[in-house]
Amino acid sequence: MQGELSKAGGLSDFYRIEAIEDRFLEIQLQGAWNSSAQLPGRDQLEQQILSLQPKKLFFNCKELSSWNSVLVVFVSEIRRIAKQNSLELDCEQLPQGVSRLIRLSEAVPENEEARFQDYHDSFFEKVGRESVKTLNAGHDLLEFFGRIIVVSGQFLRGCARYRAVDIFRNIQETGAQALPIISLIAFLMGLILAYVGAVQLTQFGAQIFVADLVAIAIVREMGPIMTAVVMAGRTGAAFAAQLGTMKVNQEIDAYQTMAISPYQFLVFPRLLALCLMMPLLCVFSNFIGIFGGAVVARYHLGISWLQYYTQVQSAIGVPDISLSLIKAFVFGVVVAAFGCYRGMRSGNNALAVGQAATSAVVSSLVLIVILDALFAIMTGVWGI
Amino acid sequence: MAAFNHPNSPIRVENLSMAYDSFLIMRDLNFSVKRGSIFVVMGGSGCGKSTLLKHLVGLKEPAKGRILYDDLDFTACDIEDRKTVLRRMGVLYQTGALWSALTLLENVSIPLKEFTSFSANEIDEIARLKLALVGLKGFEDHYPSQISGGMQKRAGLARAMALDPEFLFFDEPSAGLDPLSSRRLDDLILELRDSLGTTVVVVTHELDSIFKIADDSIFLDTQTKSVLDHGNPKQLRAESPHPAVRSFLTRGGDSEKEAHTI
Ligand SMILES: Nc1ncnc2c1ncn2[C@@H]1O[C@H](COP(=O)(O)OP(=O)(O)OP(=O)(O)O)[C@@H](O)[C@H]1O
Ligand SMILES: [Mg+2]
Repeated sequence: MQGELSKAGGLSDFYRIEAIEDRFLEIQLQGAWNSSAQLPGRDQLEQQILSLQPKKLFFNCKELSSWNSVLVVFVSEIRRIAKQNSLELDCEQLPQGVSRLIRLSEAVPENEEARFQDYHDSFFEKVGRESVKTLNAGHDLLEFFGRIIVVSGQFLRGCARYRAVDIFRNIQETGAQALPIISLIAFLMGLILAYVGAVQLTQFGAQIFVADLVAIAIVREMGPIMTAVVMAGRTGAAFAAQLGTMKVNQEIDAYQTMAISPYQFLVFPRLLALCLMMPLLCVFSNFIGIFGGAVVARYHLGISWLQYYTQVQSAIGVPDISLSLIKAFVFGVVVAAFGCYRGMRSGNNALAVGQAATSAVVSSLVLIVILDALFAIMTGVWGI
Repeated sequence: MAAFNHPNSPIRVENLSMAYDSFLIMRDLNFSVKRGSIFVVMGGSGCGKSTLLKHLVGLKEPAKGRILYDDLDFTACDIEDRKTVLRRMGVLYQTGALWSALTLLENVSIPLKEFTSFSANEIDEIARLKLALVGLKGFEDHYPSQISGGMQKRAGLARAMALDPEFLFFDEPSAGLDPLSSRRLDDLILELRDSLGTTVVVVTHELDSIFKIADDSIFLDTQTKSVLDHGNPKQLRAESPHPAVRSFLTRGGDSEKEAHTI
C-alpha cells in the first residue's frame, strides 16, 4: 500500500505521508518550513495517519532545507497523536534542534490548576453570581464613601496627613486650567438659549424676556450641569487614570505599607480641590453664559446692555444663586468621588485603567442627571 | 514544626495558606525569622515568593493561618496596632513602585516627614544620604520616569531604608542590577544587619548573593505547595535530602545528566 496521501493545498507541499513495508509510516518533510507554511488541522492530520493503520512512525528529513517553530509545532502534534493512539514514534531522523526545542518545551510540566476553568453555568448560577457581584460592588462603594467621610472628618479636626502642595496643584489643574473650555461651553450655551428664546418671544413682542429666560436657565440648570459634565470628562477621567496607573505601579501598595493612608494622601487633595473649584467654576460659567445671551440680545434683538442687565437682575435672586452653588458643590463631590473610586478600584493592567476612566465618567454623568432631576422635583415642591 | 519557632523570632508565620480566589498558591507554611538575621525566600519563578511577601507586609489577607510580629497577630489586629507594625517595616517592591509624581528626593523624604520630627533641613540631609548609599548621588531631583529600571530599584531601596526600619523586605533586590551594583547591594544588606541589627527578608534568585548574605532560608515548591526545605543555603546545597533544592542551589549542576532522547 504505497502512495501519496497528502491532500492538496496547505502543507501538502511540505510533507508527505507514505506507508513503507507493513504498517510502517514514513513522514517525509521537504523544502523550507517557515512561517509561510500552514499547518494542517489537527483532525485532518490524525485522520490521515490513522487511515493507514500504522504501528510505527518515522520521520524522513533528507529533503528538509530549513525549518523554524512551525516544524516544532507539527512534530509535537504528531507526538501527541502517536501517544494517544499508542503508536511507536521514531524521532531519530529529526534535526537535533527540533528535538532539543521539544525537550525544552516539555521540561516544565503543565500546571494543571493554573489553567482557567470554563464555567458552564446554569441560568440560576449566573443570576446568583451576578447578584453577589452587584451586592459586593454596592458594599464596596459604601465603604469608599465611608472612608471619604472619615478622612474629611480628620481634615476638619486637623489630623489628616496630606501634602498641601498636592491640594494647590490639584486646584490649579481642576480650576484655572479648566477656564478656557468652561468659558467656551458656557458662552455658546447662553447664545443658543437666547436664540431659541428669541424666536418664540418675538412672536409675542416680548423680546426683553430673553434676559429672564437665559438668566434663569443658565443659573438654575445649565451652568451647574454643563460645568459638571465638562469636569466629569476632564477631571473625573483624569483622577481615575492617575490613581489607576498608580495602582498598576504598586505606588498605592507602597503608601499602604508605609502606613500612609492613600485616602488621605491621594484621594483627599483631589476631592477637596474639586469641591472648592466646582462652585467657583459654576459662578464663572453663569456669568459667561448670561453674557452669551446678552450678545444675542444686543445684536440680534436690539436690546441695550443696560436693559438686559436690569432685566437679569430682577429675574434671579439669592435662592437661584444658592441653588446653583449647592448643585455645583454636590456635582463636584460626585465627579471627584467617582473618579477616585474607579481609580482606586482599577484592575492591574492598562486595559483596566482605561475602563476605570470610562466608568468614572459614565457613572458620574448618570448620577449627576439623576441628582439634577431630584433637585428639580425638590425645588418644585418647595417652590424655590 | 513547632520546634522551629524561636523565642527570639520577631516574625512568625503559622499555618499560612495563600490563595488568589480559588487558586491555591501555598498551603500550611510554618517558619520564623530570627532577629537581626537575613532570611532568604527561594523557589522557582511563579511559585509564590512575591505573594508570600505581600502577606508578610499586609497587602494580602491570608486564606488561612496567622502572621505574628512579636506575638501580635498582624492579620487580625486593629488598625492602630497594624500601623505601628507597618511603621517598623520597609518594603522594596519587585518593580520599585516609586511614587511617580515625586522626585527621588521627595520619595525618600516623605516617610521621614510623616513619621519623624526632624526639621526640613535634617530630612533633606538624611534623604540625600540614603540616596548616596544606593549610588544615586546627583539624581535627587530626577523623576522616577527619568531613570533606568535598575536605578528605580535602588531608589526604592533608599526609600525602604529611609526610616531605618527594624524589618526590611526586599523583592528581588538585585534583579536588573549590574554585577558591581548588585555586589554593593549585598554589602549594604550585610551592613544593615551588622550595624543596625535590621532583620531582613529577601526574595532572590541570585545564587552568589544567596550564599553571601543568607543566614537562613526557606525553599518554596510549586508541586507540593509547601516549604520543601529550610536552613542555611550552604548547608542545604551540601546536604539537602531534596534533589530539587540541591539542583536549584547548584544551578541544575546536580541533574545535568537528564535523558537526551525525546
Ligand atoms: N493578582 C493575581 N491574581 C491571580 N493569580 C496571581 C496574581 N498574582 C500572582 N498570581 C499567581 O500566583 C502565583 C505566584 O505568583 P508570584 O508573583 O508570587 O510568583 P513569584 O514566586 O514572585 O515569581 P517570580 O520569581 O517570577 O517573581 C503565580 O502562579 C501567579 O499565576
Ligand atoms: Mg516575584
